[in-house]
Amino acid sequence: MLHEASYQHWIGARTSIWRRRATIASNGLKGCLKSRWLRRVLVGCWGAALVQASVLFFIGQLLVPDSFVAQSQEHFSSPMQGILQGLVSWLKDHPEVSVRVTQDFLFYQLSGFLLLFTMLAIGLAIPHLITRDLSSKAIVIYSSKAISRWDYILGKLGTMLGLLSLTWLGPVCFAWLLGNLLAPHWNFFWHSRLALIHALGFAMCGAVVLSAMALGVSAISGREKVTVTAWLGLWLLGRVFTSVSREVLDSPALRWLQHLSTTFNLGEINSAIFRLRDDLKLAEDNIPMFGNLLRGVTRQTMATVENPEFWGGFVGLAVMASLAAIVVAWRVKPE
Amino acid sequence: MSGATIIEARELSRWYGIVMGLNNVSFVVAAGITGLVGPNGAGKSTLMQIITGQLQSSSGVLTVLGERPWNNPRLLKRIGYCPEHEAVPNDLRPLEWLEGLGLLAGLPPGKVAEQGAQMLERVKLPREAWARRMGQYSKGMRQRVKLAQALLHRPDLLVLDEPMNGLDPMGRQEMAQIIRELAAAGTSVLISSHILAELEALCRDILIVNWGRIIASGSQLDIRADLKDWPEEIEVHCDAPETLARRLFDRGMLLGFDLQAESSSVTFRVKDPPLFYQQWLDLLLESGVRVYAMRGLNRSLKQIYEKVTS
Repeated sequence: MLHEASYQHWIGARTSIWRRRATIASNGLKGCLKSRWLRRVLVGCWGAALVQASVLFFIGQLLVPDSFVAQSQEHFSSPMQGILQGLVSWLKDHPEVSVRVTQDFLFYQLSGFLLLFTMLAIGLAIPHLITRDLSSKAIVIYSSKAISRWDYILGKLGTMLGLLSLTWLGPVCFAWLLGNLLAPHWNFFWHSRLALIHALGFAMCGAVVLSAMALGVSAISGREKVTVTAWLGLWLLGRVFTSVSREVLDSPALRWLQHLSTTFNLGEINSAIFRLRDDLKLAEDNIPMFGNLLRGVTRQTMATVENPEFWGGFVGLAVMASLAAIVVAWRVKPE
Repeated sequence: MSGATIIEARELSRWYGIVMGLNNVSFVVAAGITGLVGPNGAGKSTLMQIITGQLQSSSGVLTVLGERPWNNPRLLKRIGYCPEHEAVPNDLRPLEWLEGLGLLAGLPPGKVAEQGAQMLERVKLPREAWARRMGQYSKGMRQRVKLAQALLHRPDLLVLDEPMNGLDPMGRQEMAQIIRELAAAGTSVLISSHILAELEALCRDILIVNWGRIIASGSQLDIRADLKDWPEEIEVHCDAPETLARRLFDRGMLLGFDLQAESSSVTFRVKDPPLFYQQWLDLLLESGVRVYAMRGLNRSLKQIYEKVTS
């Protein structure tokens, strides 16, 4: 019998291992973005960044006498007018301090907000990471290609970092860039550099820890309901532990319970990176009005800002990321 | 066995805790199509997973195309693997999946779509199904996509774990034809299947595994010849079965025979099959007996397999 013999072994060029890892990352990200709800969360993240840029624009416009914002001050109530005038004079007299403090504070808030959105986005993306590969057993086929399991995990980590760039890093950079582009003076970029560095520093810490944790949770099971519930459960249970230890138990011996919460730990890291205490001190020294304002802030809020439990948060996150790494190493193996 | 050595195992073992998956096996697989048979839990999938770098052996050495497969992406570029169980993602279309896998196999980005389409055509997945997500596919269609992904990067060695599962008879024939074509083009194939008749028609060499041991290897004829304590039985339909039986018995060529007068046939238990076949025609001419049909009763792969695993 004559056989069809046109089939030839592949003798062409091969792509590099980094290209193959990038393929896993990009395919994973494409899979995540197929979720309509995830796309909605992304819109929320970028919307928040747009709001932030608008606030920065509003503050900058206060310094422009003939701007719409400056002229519409007269329509505000007297106390509000007083605050705005104080802010304007502060911005004029001490631009390097005022821009730094204002933007540090605003980006601190934005980071906290984006963290919540990111937690939600991860919850929606979890099935697309490792869960579906486990349930369909496609992971066996991936590992039979020219990649090791570490390449696979690196690729999936790339997927997470890509997603977190869209939900967190990207919006932060966008808000900072647009907000300062619309500012009345170029020196706003320079004065607000610390706010950007702090926000990016926190976003990158968060990205590393949350990526590791997301992979760990995604690898727990091949059932989507289990992994999504596990992620949301960990998140919400952590918040419950924080509330219980703070509000109900209120005992220093049980404060470690707070560190069972990912968001609490990240919040502590956020406070430690932004060092708002330094900003508040600067502001207090420069405007008496601000000092009066701070005296009205509750004791607990001030305690959080002044003494963030950096090491507690760091250790808590390190333990969580390590547990996640163990789960991934245990579950993502060809056998 | 003949041809270049593709796979070589020396004292290979694999344990799962206290369970022996493979127990100190040594064998050689030559180029061409080789069948891997054995009952469930015999160690076939374990062996295939070690060959494709999915599992690490506990002891011993295994080389594939001259290299050790564990943690060796360079070698994996030359191996295609089609696993037994479901391994197709439900939410993707076949070409989307193959494009991603092609990149993972190291194919250049500009070539993957073309290669993927070629392979889907090669495995005869109907073109109208290409636009559907694989979650909507029948088991047979999924098997074809699984085979396409194994062929995608045009490997030198193809390892197929139960590729006929879920295919209808026509699909099995098509799959067998594809495997023959690949072998004719120089691809070596290691294939496991429970459908022994089809494996027999496809493979020249066989590896029989049981309880984690390789209990027979080589061509079917060689394995049969090695079963010396299992006399070969040949059924002959002729016009004078008794005469034929007496002549053979007188010459000392038979261990025994059973006459079936009503069907004009006789079943011989042959002492030395090579000698029997050598003298058979002369003896037939001498005797003047007319033979209408003749067949070996215990030469098929199924019978050999049942004998060696019993």
